[in-house]
Amino acid sequence: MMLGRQQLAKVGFIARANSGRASKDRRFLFSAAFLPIAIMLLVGTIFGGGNRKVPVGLIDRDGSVLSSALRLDLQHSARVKLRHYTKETSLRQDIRRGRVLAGVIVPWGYDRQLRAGERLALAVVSAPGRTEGIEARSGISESVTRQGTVIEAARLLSTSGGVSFETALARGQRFVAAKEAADSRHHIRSPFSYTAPSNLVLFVFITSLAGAIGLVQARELGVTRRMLATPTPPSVIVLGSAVTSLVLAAGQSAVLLVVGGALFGVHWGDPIALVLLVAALCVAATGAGLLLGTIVRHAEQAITIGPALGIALGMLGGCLWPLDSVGPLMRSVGHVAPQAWAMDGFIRLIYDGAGLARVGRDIAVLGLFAVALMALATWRLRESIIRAA
Amino acid sequence: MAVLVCTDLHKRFGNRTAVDGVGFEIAGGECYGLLGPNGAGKTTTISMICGLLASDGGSVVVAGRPVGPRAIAAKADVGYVPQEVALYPDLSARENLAFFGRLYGLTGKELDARIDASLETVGLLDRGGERIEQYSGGMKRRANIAAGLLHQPKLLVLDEPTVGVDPQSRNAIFDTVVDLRDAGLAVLYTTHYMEEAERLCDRIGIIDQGRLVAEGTRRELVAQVSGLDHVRITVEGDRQTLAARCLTIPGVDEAVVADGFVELRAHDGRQLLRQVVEAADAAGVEVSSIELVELDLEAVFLQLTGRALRD
Ligand SMILES: Nc1ncnc2c1ncn2[C@@H]1O[C@H](COP(=O)(O)OP(=O)(O)OP(=O)(O)O)[C@@H](O)[C@H]1O
Ligand SMILES: [Mg+2]
Repeated sequence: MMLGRQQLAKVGFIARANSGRASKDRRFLFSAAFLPIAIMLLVGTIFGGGNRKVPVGLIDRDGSVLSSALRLDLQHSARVKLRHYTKETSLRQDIRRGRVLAGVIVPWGYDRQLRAGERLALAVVSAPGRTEGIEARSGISESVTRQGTVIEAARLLSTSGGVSFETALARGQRFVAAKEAADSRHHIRSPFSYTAPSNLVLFVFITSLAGAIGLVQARELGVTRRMLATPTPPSVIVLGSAVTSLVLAAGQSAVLLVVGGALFGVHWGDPIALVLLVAALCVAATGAGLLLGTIVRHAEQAITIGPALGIALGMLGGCLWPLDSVGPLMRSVGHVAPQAWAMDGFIRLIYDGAGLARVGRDIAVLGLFAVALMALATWRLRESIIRAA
Repeated sequence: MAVLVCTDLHKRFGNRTAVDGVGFEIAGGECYGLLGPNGAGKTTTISMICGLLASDGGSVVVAGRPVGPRAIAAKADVGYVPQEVALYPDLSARENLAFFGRLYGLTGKELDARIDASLETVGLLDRGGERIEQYSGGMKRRANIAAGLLHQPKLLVLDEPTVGVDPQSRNAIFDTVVDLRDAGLAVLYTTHYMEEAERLCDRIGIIDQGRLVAEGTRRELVAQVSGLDHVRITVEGDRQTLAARCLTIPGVDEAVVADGFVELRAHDGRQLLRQVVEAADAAGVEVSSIELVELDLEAVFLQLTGRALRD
């Protein structure tokens, strides 16, 4: 249905009036902004780990030139403090006891396979429930990527440039090491790098789900009915509600992004990818909140179910502890929650310095959640508004 | 000319018939009361008249335009005051009125002027800046009415506007409704209080179980049922003689002599009073009081439906 200018203007002031009401509500301000910032501060200060290096265990089963090179790189890494192990059982035991937070096992044949240009998997084990696991994984991944690049370059040089592979490799390693030393100040990462995005994702969802209360109250008060008695089509009321929630979610995200960046020193990463990721997050959260508003019957139900659902999905989706630190089954199960895709995106942006190309899939999946939730929610909301008459 | 014409309205919810062939008209400057007990179908009828609910049959025309859920523009002629206080409690009366006013398409100076006028009409002009949740029950009800007046509708629909209201506010609401009617609005007023319908409404429709069982002025309604008024004459002296004389007055069906008074059963008690006084003079008795118990809508309802108006 096409809406005229006057009806579209109504969408605007329904949203303005309702978001204005929320922004004057102290409870809303407390739970949407103050609480997440306080939790970020607390968790970041206690568990953020500061600039301390993360202890990581290594088992070198190959004992070759390239496996030693990787070991050396890790030893010089700004993120990782390396310990050596020979037995997997003792490495796992130390991970359980928290003496190291992750372990890398370099398999037999590492050197040979790399030289042959084959792909191979490094087993990385990390401690459950610790956010430093991401830091460790990120450090390991940096070293591996660096080595991969050098090896690739050395192979090229040795086949076309008349230099032996060994020589080219040694040169490359020296070059990279010098560059690393020069760049090392870039490695200082904010201790809030995990808690800031995870609480952003967690609370945007909690706030949006709790926003279902507003819809239910408008229905219970009879305000929805009265709105329908005016010359206003139901679709305008639906749009007004959706825009209200979106404006609130976007405002909340903006506050938390700015606080995370300015106060907690989080480098959010590629700005375009960040904006797209946050936009998809807001639409998905809004859709979920509106949908909940059409499912619950009473305001009390919305008050109890909304935040509880937000926390449960947040746990599942890696907002309370990283999905990196849970088993593969829970990691897959966790991805039924849109939060998991948002967190994957944030971790890639913040820890891996990824650009749009590498975060694109996370944004796309989150976008699919957003479109599906929003479509279902607006359709159901329209039905429920008509029924409210 | 009729502002509201509704014809043969039907509404079913599942297999329960909520409204079953209701039809009536209301002219400008007329207050029409829809009187019926809980669950009679008043709100359902109103919902169809305000275009909130699709009817299963029948039609609603307001100021010449058909009204329904899809007839958006025609809703501008109807002012709806719902049974509950349908306002945001955390906003002031003014903010609420501004919100709904904009939904009626009012803006700028016109909106401000209409907010002032509506608050004035319900007597809340000086308290309009306060939040609804800080209002008394009566003030909330009055603000609720103001929101239905903003856009100067031709038909004002009030759904039990005095429920849970103190006598003072109730009177204020009555005065408002009378003023609006006198200003030319067509008013539809639903209630299950007989006294309200009698006092306020020019015509009354009695609704029960979804059916309009009778319609007319109070007098017309009373005339429809075969009931008799009671006239109680408290006297000193010869009550037998008085009773005998009263029985000769045309319209008196029965005269009962009791301890201290004589009670007449008559068709139109009000018309008899002078003749009763004359009869008392002739009988030489001293009348200390004459009480007229007219047949009321309660009795009409009882007669028409076999049930009391209030359960
Ligand atoms: N949405 C609905 N779904 C099912 N039944 C309904 C619905 N709305 C009303 N009814 C039924 O229709 C009948 C008429 O209800 P309605 O609300 O119109 O009565 P009313 O005269 O306004 O009563 P009251 O004086 O209590 O407000 C009742 O039996 C009620 O239970
Ligand atoms: Mg009702």
